[in-house]
Amino acid sequence: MDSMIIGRYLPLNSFIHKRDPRLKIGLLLLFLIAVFFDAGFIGYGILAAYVILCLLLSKISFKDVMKAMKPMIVMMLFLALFNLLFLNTGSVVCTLGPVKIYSGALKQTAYILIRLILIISMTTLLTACTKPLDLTLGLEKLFGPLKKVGFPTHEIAMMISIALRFIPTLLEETQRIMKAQASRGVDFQEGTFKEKVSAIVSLIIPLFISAFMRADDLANAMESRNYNPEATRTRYHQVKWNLGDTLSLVVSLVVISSVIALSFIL
Amino acid sequence: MSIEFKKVNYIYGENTPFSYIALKDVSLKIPQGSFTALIGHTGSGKSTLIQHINALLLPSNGEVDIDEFVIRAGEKPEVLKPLRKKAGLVFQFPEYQLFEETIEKDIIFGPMNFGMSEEDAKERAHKVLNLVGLDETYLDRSPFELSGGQKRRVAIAGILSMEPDILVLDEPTAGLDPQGAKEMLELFKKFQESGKTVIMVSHDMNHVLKYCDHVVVMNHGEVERYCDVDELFSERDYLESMSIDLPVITDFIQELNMGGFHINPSIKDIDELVNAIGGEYNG
Amino acid sequence: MANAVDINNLSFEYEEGAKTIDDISFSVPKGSYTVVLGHNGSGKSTIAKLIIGLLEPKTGDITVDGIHLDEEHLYDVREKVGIVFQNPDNQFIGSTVRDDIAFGLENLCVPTEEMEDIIQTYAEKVNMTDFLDHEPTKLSGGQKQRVAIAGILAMHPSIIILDEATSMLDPRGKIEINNLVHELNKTQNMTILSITHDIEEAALSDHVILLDNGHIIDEGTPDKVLTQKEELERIGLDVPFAYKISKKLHDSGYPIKPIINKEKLVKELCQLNLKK
Repeated sequence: MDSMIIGRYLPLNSFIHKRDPRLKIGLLLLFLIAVFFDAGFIGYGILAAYVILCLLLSKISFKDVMKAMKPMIVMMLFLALFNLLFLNTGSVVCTLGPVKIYSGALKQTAYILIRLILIISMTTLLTACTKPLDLTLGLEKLFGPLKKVGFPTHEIAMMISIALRFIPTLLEETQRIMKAQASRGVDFQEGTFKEKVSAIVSLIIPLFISAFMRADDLANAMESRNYNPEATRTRYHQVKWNLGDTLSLVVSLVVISSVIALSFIL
Repeated sequence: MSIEFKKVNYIYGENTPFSYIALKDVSLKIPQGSFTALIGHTGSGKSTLIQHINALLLPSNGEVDIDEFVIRAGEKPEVLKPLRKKAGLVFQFPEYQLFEETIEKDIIFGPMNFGMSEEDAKERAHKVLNLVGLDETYLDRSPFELSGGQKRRVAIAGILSMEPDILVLDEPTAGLDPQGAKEMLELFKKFQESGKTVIMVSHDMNHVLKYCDHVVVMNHGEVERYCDVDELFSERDYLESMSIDLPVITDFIQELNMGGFHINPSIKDIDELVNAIGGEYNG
Repeated sequence: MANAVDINNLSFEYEEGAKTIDDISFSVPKGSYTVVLGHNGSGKSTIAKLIIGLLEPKTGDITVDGIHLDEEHLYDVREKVGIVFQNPDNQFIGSTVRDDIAFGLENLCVPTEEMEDIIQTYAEKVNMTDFLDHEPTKLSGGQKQRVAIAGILAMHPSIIILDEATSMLDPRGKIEINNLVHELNKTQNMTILSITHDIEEAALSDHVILLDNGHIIDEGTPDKVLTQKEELERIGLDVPFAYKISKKLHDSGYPIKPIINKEKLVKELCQLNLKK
């Protein structure tokens, strides 16, 4: 669990950490779009430089970035192999026995790998440099306007924050239930398929039931404290836009738009 | 069915920056057939200690002997199941471990995991259900229709059906009303009286006084005291320093004695106390 | 002086035909410490949920601080009532102590600029200022309940209902909460309605309402209600310890009146003993 960098927040105090979450989410989305424009290797070079700059500013160690990549390596190799072997565009570059490798395949494979690396890096950057609750707040503010068309932005954001708050509690409860069932002879590690299924059932059902009970209690507690999702509420946490955010926005838009423009020129 | 801890240490999160010594040099011998209370402040190691009795936790140092089972630090025991059957552990709020469709199925879950046949387990379930004060009409019902107190009784039946020799209970009366608590404790007393060993973590000294014969006092991971119940409650200052309350009756007697009475401080029964007070008055 | 809560002919059924609450009527005087006493399953927690409008009664009405509880005034009533539930985890909504206290303030549309001071003030009242940035998993049960109380106080209720708020706590936690609540009652004249099965807590209250099977079977001062030995035993409760001793002594000819207060009993017995 410790090596799972993807999705985990790293409490550092960097330039990127201090940026407005709305900025970070918005830019990530634009970045992800830009990645799929074909501006050639020059375009990817620009995007890569941008990512490296962000990483440097984020104070996240290179080691941690590699850790984020680790789970993806197998998938990347698989994709690479698949494309190399089965894409038949362009001219033949070399032959390995019965297999022919095409130039088009090489280019595509390179593109796929580069895109994957860029996407993973930037997403990891976002989650590592933004507290989950700030992310939720950022999402809520960004998608706020959708409320007007009936999209339950606030309710979803509230659900996410509560889910986040309960993750450690539920993990503790899972541990407790596992111990209780182990005391009744359940082996969570070894056994026949049937035994393993029975073991999981003896864990999942109490967890679900307890989760539903919690939800019920929580709803009562929230209502008792005058919660009304449809009414206006003030907010304790605020997102504040400042100069650093404006500068970052300008620079990032320049980078992204130049890459997109390049894709049309080339 | 004796339980022995030999210089046991337990370290949570060993080799991580969060490592924390929960048990320090714990040596303890609990005789068969006793009803031993395990008391101490929250975080004193009680929960960690009891999880060593059925090998949910393995010692970081030292040795734990449960009858013929020897668990040494650093050695992973080959077979844990027989030990889990022999030492039945009931966690706090055990009603949260119920999961089967019917009460009968839930009660036979444990014994069947330990190899009992379904028919034997069902027979056992009927008996045990009566023991916890519920009748056969409950067998086909869903455990989730029941009240909290009834669910708890079903959960405990599920452990008793395993036919353990040792019963380890973590605050079994938490959240129960006085009548419910009394019924539960009477059940455990009967279990002990049939020759078994009971260990109970408790915060209620009135229960400890009434039902237990020995008490282990834990403090910051160490066994501070292991003695008779009467002996422990006679030491007012010590208990105050440990923030342990006296049982209501013992406290009352001690206050009377401080005010001039001479009443036997190990009286546990109200009628006896009333006679003693009346006796002194009449000279 | 109006009552904090008035309940008239209240009935409620979870299921058709099974009356959980059966035609009960009672009042909670302002500034009092009132206890609703009953064994588990007597219907007492249901009363709390009815008062705050989480459940709708079948018959009868409820008035809180002069406001009649109905759909139109639901939120008005909820502003007046603060309720602490039994499970410390399942009412902790915020990700930290700060956030949890802020939750109620957000619901009441308190301006953002004012929130910081309010949070600080009420965290101080419950002695939790050192823990403001702690997550709930790092807090004890007693601490979590203290935070719940801070959150409620910040909403300036007229009455605080404790729905078995200490039954899942260890002794230290129980004492913390009971002391805090008694202090609020004595120093701030906060009306307290405590729902419990704890006889000794009831012995320290101003007013006891005895509930069994959805009916009120007795009501009055602790001295009146908690001395009905047969009645209490019949419904699975017990009389206070001091009463047991003093009644038995009294019945055997000892010159003492039965009382429910332990400290007073010790004093009286010692005085009598000296005099003889």
